[in-house]
Amino acid sequence: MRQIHVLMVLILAWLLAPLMIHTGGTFNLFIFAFINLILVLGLSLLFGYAGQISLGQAGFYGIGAYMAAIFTVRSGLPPLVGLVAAIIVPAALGYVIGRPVLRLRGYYLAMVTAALGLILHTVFVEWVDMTGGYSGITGIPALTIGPLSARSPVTMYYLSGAIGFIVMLLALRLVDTAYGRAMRTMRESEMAARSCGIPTARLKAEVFALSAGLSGLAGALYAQYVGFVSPESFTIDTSINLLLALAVGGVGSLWGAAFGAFLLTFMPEWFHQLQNAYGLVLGALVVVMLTLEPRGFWGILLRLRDALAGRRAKTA
Amino acid sequence: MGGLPRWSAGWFAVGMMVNLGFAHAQEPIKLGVSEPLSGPASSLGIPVVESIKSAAEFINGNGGIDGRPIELVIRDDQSRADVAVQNFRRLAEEGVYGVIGPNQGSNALAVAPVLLETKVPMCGFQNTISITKLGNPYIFRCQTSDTDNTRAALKFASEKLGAKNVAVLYTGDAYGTEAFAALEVEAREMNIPIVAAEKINYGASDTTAEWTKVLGAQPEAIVLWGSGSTMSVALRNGSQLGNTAPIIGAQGVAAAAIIKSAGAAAEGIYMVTLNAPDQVTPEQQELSRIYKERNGEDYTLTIYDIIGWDAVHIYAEAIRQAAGEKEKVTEGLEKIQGLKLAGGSYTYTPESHEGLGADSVWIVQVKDGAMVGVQRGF
Amino acid sequence: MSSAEILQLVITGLTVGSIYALVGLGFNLIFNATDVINFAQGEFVVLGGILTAVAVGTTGLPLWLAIAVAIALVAALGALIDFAAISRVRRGSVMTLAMITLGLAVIVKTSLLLWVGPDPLYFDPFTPGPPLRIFGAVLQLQAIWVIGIGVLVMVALKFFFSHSRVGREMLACAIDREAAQLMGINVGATVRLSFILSGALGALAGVLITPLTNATYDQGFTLALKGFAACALGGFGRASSAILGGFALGLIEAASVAVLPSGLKDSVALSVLILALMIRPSGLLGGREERRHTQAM
Repeated sequence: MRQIHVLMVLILAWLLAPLMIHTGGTFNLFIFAFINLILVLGLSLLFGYAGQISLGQAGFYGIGAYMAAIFTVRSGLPPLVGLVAAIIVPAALGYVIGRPVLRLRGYYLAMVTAALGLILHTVFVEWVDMTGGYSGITGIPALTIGPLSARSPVTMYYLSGAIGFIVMLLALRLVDTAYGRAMRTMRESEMAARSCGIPTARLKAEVFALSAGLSGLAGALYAQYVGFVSPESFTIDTSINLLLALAVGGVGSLWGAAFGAFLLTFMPEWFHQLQNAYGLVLGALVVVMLTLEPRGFWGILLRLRDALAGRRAKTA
Repeated sequence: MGGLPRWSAGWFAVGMMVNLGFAHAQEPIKLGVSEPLSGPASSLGIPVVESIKSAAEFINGNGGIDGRPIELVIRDDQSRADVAVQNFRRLAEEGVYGVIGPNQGSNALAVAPVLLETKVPMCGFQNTISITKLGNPYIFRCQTSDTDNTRAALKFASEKLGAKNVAVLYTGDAYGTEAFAALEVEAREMNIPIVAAEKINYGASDTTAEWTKVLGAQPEAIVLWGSGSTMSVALRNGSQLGNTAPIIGAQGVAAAAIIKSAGAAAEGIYMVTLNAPDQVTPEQQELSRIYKERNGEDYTLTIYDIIGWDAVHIYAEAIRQAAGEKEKVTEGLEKIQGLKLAGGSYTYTPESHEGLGADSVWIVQVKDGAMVGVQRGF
Repeated sequence: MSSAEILQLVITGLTVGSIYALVGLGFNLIFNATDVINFAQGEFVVLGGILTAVAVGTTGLPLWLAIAVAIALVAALGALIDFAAISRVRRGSVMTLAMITLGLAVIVKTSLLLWVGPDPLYFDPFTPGPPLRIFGAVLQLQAIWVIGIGVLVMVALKFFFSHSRVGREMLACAIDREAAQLMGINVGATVRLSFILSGALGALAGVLITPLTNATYDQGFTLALKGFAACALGGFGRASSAILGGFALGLIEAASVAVLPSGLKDSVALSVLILALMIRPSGLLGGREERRHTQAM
């Protein structure tokens, strides 16, 4: 399968890249790119296969990060426990909320998740005893195996990259299973899916839970690497940026999501001279891109491919 | 030995040493800066970085630090704690002798553990009380502490304004809550009852509910402790609800943007701050001259101009005390005694990293939209 | 709680409720015409307030003129959004359109930050003077304007929809767009009009509330959510549902301040939104949410 080949080339590049990278800053960027990849993949699964958008990823991301922090710093348990909680708690919350809301036709989930994200942010700020409020939780112990610590940029580069690639692989595989096909049917026509006996409400809630769990995983990685969590990393702007990144990369495709995630991470670096004006770049990019090609960069690639294939067909 | 005279060997040796010394002396001293250049706190960070650059230029123009020029490494923390944490790590990687910043109290608390890892000292601009009480040897305060600021506010209220009780409105972040805790203790010591105390949401756009509760207790003076745009909202709400009691604001309120935004509601309020723009102290002359040349004769110094300037000079002195050795900068800071700079007289000891004392605290009043000095030193 | 405190609560609740109702109405208009959630709805409100404040503060225009200019500009922006982006997207779903509005919201918010900075802006209340005291509660004069003009506008809109040809055409599009088109109604023009009206309503809300609370560049999104909550609470179908929802939401929020720390105030409104959709999605008045049969999205 061609996609697997592309993936293998990318994995090879990833493994070898540290030979050429010398500054901690670049590793830093890649680590955040992988964290963003996991976040945007979750969004992509939700939209591409359940047809819903979520504006609350930052909330689940935050829960994951705070779980990782609280379970280790406050309760003194090993980091692995925090990691598990970071995935399960957001997933459970996602299912509970998603089940009734996703029953509805239309896209109320967008607003509900936006509201949820804002509420969670308020919880992070106000529940000072648990979260430390604006001062956050600091001194999160990193996952260590022998001399390798999750705090070190190189180690984290490999750890986050490995997890990122694994999630990508699983997502690609998921699409081809019966489950994945059911999800795609649901997206094309909910009525058709229901008449096939597919439990659409439950399926949609499960996808939502999956995307929430992935966000929690990303949060745990974040907490491990930075060693500090505070509400400012998990705001509605974070959620909006993630969704816009997906839109620009291409909502219908996991590769589009990956591209969007990397764009989201690297663009602020390229444009850091702009300081406050960076928002204009992102907003303008989204509006222009979606107006011209709703399928994002992935759509542009597809158009190129079709154009090339058409030309080849003509000359043949 | 025939040939060259004996004494030439000595001169040769001296010449060699001078040469080696010179090569070492040219090596620049890297000073890190982590300030909010974007995001909500950027109106504080941008002028501070300007004054830091002015200070570095000034020192370099006068021979640098023992002949070595200062090289600033500036990073934007986007008003966010997580970015501040990463900045401090990356600045340490680049070999800075010390970091100037961060600006916000919660950011300082966030970067504290990183300092223990990197062992690079930090000169911060927070009034937030707890940052020097963490037992962290690398945190130095380049500002007044709210312990002194709150005490000054209460003393002023009771002695100069004759208030027999106060009410307190404070923001819910570390800056506000710690100040309130200090106010409670000090008010008890001074026998001034606090008749009402309300916590305001940091970043709130409406404080009428809290004001209603405060005014219900009929206080004779009101202490307003917080920062950011909520402060101008609070001033307006108080005026809308018909408050007539005098208000004493924290240093976070003493920002030109807040005064302007609050309009008529800010007229006549008192504020605790670091300088009186209408009065230039001897130590501020040089700084004032530079800024008047740049911005025009009417320009008056702001807090941000002062703290940035002072921070660079503090590090310059510390590095001199450390004889230019990077590892000894923290010790060098602790040797600073009575260094008179634009903000006041700075003293650090191994036991106290506070820097400025109550003698540097000003209380100013807003008259016709401008801040006018009323009293210095408490 | 004393009766004075209860009265104060009701006053505050009706005042903000009027704003939520206006925002919700704006949402409804666009949603009914296009199926699109307009994430930039809140930005219209903020723009209304900030444009007026700047016009009064820098150019010294008389207040009524500044208000008129601001509302006109934002209405024009609404039309521009439709012209430049919404009407041009041929391929793609309403999701795409919604995300375009999200991108636009980011652009507006960033532009405001660059233009006027992060600090709140104000202008003076429509009529100067101390607040009235009614049975121990404080009633600001501006609050009377907010509630008064708000209700007037809502009544006017009701007449517009039921008695004018243009209004009835808009309703028809809302019920079934294809049928409306077949009947000869110019759907494109209707959509454009709904954007213009939405912009004007949003800006009006901003103009009304700024003397009381201030206009800050980043208030937009939360306002949009609360407007949406108003629609959800009332039910998405008729305009009057959004109005009722808005006032109900305002009262609930005001009441919550009495019992909860004020930091949680926004969360209350948002929780209402979530609960409303989870428990009774057709809203208090039971709007016609399952109206369209054409696409699932």
